[in-house]
Amino acid sequence: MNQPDFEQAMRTLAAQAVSPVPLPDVDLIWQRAAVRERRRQAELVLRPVRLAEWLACVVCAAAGVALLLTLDPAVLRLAGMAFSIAAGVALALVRTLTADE
Amino acid sequence: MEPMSREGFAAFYQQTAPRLRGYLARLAADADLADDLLQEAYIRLIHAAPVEEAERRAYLYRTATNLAFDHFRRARREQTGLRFWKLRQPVAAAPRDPATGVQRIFALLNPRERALLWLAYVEEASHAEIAAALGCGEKSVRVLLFRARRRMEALLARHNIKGGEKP
Repeated sequence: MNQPDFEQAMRTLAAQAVSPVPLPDVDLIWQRAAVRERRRQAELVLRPVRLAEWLACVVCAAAGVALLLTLDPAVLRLAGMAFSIAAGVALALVRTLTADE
Repeated sequence: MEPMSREGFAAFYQQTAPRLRGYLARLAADADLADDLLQEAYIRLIHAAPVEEAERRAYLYRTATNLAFDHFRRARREQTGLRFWKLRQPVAAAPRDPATGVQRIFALLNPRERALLWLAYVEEASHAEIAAALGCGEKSVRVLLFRARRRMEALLARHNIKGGEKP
């Protein structure tokens, strides 16, 4: 077995462990953490608004589907379909916008 | 427990970052990626619920290791997707620090083996500390470490690396 080679290899790696390239700036890391925390707080404040938007879209979509099912005339049926599609798209958009990173 | 102050964080960073960057650089085999992971690990430490001072280092290594493994999983998924859609793979940028012979051999191990060997033989961490960093049992560490060491020895022999570098 080449045990000495292994041990020497690990010693070589250990000797090369610390890079001469300067570390990322500590203040920059602290600031990035602060910015992320502020953004998280802002998202928390906006959460009820997002929920209301989401509920409004669900209601619109449900209404559209109900309209489509209950109304007989072809034109109204088309209008209901368009309405449902629009609500569905809005719902998808809101979900995308409110999705976590 | 008090959250970490800016000064406390700066002192902890200066004390731990050089070694952690070395670990991430070898784990990721990419110096730029290592710096990204390093920064993310410290940001998560700042955001974490106050961690006992004695636990901070373990928390940091666990977070950094998880971030690196998540990155590898994501990269593998992306590559699978690119292959499925027959899209061209992105061309990797030239490495900032060209790898030496031993570093190239080390990069041939899988990420878990690299993490195990580094923590055990460079950081000289105990089996309990390694288990905490990698999220596995202490008994598993013993077996996995043995296998990783055997694999590294075999690679060194196959690539004819003597005394740590090419003859």
